[in-house]
Amino acid sequence: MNINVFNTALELAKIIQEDDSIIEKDLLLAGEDVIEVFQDPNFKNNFQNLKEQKMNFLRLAIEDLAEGAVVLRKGELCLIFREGKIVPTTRDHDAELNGILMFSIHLKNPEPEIPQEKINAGIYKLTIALAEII
Amino acid sequence: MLVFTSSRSHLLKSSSVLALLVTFSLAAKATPKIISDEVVQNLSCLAITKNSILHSIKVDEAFSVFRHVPTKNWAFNAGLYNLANCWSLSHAQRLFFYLGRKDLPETPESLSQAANMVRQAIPRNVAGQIQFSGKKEYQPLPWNMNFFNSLESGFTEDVDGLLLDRSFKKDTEAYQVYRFHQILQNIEYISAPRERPADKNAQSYLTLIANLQFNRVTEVLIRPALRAQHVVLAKKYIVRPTGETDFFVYDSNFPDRDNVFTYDPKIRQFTALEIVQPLGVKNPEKPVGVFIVDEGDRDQMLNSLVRFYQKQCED
Repeated sequence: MNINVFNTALELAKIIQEDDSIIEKDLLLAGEDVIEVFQDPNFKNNFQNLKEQKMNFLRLAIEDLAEGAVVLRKGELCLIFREGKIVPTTRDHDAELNGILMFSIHLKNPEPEIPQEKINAGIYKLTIALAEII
Repeated sequence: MLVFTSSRSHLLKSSSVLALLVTFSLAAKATPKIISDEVVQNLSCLAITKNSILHSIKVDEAFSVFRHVPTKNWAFNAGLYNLANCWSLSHAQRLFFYLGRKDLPETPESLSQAANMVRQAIPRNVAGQIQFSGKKEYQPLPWNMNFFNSLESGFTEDVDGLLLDRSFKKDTEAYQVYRFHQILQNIEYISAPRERPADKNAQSYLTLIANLQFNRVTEVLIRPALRAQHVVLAKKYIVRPTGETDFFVYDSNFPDRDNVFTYDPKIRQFTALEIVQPLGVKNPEKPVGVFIVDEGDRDQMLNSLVRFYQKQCED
């Protein structure tokens, strides 16, 4: 039986949520060099189903990064606000969006083969982002 | 010696049972070539990447006990202290898992390459003296009983006019000494309490799951006590009906079988009774510290595999 990587990250996120002083700052900084999570503070997590949508994207990003970032290397995961609704979408790097960007996850440097230590740091960064949302 | 003999016969048996299957597609140009061997199955030449190779690995064969380094861990004197070779052997085991191919030919060059990779250094003639320096680039190498016997029994290498006696034992010990000094430099491994906090364990667990799900065998330092540390190589896991996760490892103290350590998500602790017991520490059933080490090393092995299979695709 396979264990879901996201659920494993969620367990760590719950521990960190209880006490954020345990965050490994060096590892988090290394993760921030790998992956960027943007959140527009004007949209609170209780707006529509924004929290659920963010969780879905973090799940996708964590599982994809663990697998070597097949999806993330191709583009950015975005939640946009358009015509009164939250719309999940992806965009190529630097492409324009048709709506207001609410939340996004993207690799800072989508190199063809991401070194393992960067993958581990990136997963940690996403886990911290998860801890801020749950 | 029984362990030794038993595992050797496993390796020998596996050599005869697991035939190398390199399948070359004879179809039209549009059909990509497909490669299979004792490590990968149905690897498409359309995209040879680290990911595609990892996905095509046949875990049960590639990381089987039949492909373990058949030599049991041994102690040796390293000046001020006695050391065993667990870290060095785990490193060697990972490179043989990924890079060993039973049908590659044994040559003087392949013996030297293997010795350099095990030692992680290359010998050079520096003003009439042999010095080891630099990191040897990984390459696929022969992996069968005859080759290991040659490596273990030793050979003489001409290093720019100087003769150097080499063997698996010498090069393994040299790398272990190097790694031991790195342990001493890493205060985290030697200064923290025996049990690691829940977040550190959850973090190690997350990395192990993320790695093993995609066939990335992982070097793990297990620390049952301040002065007792042991490195093993995690290969796969299963989840018990009661929720604990058992990690199956190559353990150089038991080369003829897989050993196990366990994560209990309810208490967020690792235990490793069967691994720790032979180390002679008190209360071997109690939680242990688990550290993931040498993550970058595997990337270099996989990069070498990418080149290896790309060449096969071109041929």
